[in-house]
Amino acid sequence: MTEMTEMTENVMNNEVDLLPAEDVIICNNVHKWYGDFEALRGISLTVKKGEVIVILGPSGSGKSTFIRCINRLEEHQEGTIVVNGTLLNYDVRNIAEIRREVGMVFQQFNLFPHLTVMENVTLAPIHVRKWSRDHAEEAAMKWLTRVGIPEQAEKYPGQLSGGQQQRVAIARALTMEPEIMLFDEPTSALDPEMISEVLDVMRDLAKSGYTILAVTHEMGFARTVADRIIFMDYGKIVEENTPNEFFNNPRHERTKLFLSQILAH
Amino acid sequence: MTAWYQNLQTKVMPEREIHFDFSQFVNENITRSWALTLWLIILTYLTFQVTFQQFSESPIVTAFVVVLWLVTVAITVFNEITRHHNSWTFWLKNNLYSSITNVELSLLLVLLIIAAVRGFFGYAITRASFTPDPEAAAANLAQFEQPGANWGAVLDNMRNLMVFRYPHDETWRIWATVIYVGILLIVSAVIFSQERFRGTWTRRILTIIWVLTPLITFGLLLGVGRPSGVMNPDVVWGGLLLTLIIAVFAIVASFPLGVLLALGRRSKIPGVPAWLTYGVAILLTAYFLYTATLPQLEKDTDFWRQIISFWPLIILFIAIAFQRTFNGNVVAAFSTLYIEVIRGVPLITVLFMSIILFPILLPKGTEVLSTWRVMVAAAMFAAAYLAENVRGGLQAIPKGQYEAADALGLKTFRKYWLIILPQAIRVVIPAIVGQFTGLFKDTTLIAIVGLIELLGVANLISAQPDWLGVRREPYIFLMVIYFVGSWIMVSSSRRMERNLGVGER
Repeated sequence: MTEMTEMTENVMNNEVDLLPAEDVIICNNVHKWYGDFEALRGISLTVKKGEVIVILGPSGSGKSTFIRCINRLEEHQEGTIVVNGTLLNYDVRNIAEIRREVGMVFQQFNLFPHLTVMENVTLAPIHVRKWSRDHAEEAAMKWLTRVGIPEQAEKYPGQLSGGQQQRVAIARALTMEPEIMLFDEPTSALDPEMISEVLDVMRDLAKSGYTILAVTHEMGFARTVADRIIFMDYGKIVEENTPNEFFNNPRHERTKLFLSQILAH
Repeated sequence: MTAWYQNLQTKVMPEREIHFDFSQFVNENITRSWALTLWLIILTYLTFQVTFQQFSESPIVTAFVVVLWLVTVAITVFNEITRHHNSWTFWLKNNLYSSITNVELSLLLVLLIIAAVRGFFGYAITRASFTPDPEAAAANLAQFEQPGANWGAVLDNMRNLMVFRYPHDETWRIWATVIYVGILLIVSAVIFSQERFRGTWTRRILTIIWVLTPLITFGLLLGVGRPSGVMNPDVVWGGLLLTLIIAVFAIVASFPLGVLLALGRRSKIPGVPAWLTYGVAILLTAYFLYTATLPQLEKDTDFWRQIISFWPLIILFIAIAFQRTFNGNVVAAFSTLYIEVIRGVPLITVLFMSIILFPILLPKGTEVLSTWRVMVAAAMFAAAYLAENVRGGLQAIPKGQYEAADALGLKTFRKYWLIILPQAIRVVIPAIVGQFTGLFKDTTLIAIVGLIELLGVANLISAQPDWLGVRREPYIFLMVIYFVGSWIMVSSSRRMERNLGVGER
């Protein structure tokens, strides 16, 4: 707690106005334990508005756990997380506020199989944002068109290919008009030829100014789209760098080893 | 160089060759083990016995069956040893005549089935009496050496079986209920099955009508609006009417209760903190030890009585069990306790408790009618089993569905109502329908606690002076009713599964 910055203190004292507007995610010394196992060992990270951050690291390094902490799918036990000026704590209203502003895309898509694509996409806007059905469907159609599958609106998720399902999942998150998008290995469950259609959508989003945190193994995406790359290992941030520096000039031994392993094959 | 398949084509099927080694056949199929030989001897003996007996009963049919059997067996055997099956001998070889045992069993079973069908038709139709007049029925049956069914008992008592003591001049209420529900079912079958009515007002209004239907039908059947006031259900409801009311009420009422119990048992709400549980438990224990145990110890010298006077310690054990098992989660503890207690008790016990024990617990002067008590008991009983079925469905829902709902910002109620329960219940429709057919048939137990439902009426018929001792016919009639009822439930569930695409995903 000693490392707590002035900004997070301000938030805790409800002096939200003093917060610089461009810092949308502030994590300070975040710790998380699963029983005795410490999954996150003090993560500190500040994300500016519109920044695209790619989190890399070997499996089990805590990347997914970290971004799942940001919208409280996992609970952190120590440290502070502030999203869009809202402190993430046990207050249910704060959690709801944050989840409304943070969209998430999962590795396994997690579409609702008993609802059509249109119902999947309009569900949260209608029931959380309290939009009218017409308004929600209009917005849903806009996003389905943007991700390139407007013609699939009346189908059920089970009738779509993996790539199409993941694009529906992205549209579902975006229709809620979030400021921040979290991607948890969005392409890992896809066939190779479907990966590019999802990455294209993500690239498009990055260009249009969304704040993006993505856990991925797509090095090409990381190299071309990311503003910053975070490399994690054993629940810690080992290296934080621009893509260019990260791939061409890694500073840490662990990073070099990781890069040599993934680039060698 | 010719391709290999040209050689195959030129190889014309030769004359039928016989591939049969008698000693090998006997060795493999008869004398392989002494148990097989013994079994074949017994089976052959039985088959001969049955065949001869059936010959004397009805020579023509039996002869026809035996000849058909002999011919088909002969052709199949011939085709088998010449390795030249056509499609139907191939089927016969695979399905009916695959071994000596099966050859004999085929004949034996066909003869027995024919005998059973003939016996049943003889009893139920040929030698039966259909007149509701008891004297004419007795005369009818006297002509036969073996008298058949006396259906007059059922026909004469049809109104009793259906509605028992429901007043004659209020019968229109029954018909009104039947017609109302019938029309509602037909209309909903159309509206709920068609995609274009999804989310329209038609559907919403129909749902509201369905929600009101229990009230409407109860009002109709109880006689709301009669000049002489509402009827007493303990007196006027009976027969199939009572069976259906109890079954439908138990099914409808147990559903929400069961779902709540299932959710309760899985609830992860933060429980009562351990210090609070233990603190209260220790205080209570100390209080009772001081006020109850101490005086008892001074008064009693008997060792066992002194031991028993330490009963307040049980409070501590309960507190420890509650904290250890449920982490202080009161909801989960209550749901689990309810489910396990009810599941550990037979339905008849629950019914007896509702009839005999419950009135004792009520304050003096208040009374709850037996019909209501039994209905509630059946619903509470069904809810415990339903809760376990639904819990199974909840466990089948992947964690990702909960996470996706959470990530979209859906709160707990909407998450379960819109995402989790529709999927969970869909998964367990077959199990739930199985349970409900069981419940429908279990309503017969109500006859034991004194309400005259379908089985109760059937028991009464054999005590009527006109139809003294006629038992089988009403029971067969009951069997048909229960079968038809269960079949309707099962087949409509199958249709529902198909419409909802269960198991497709």
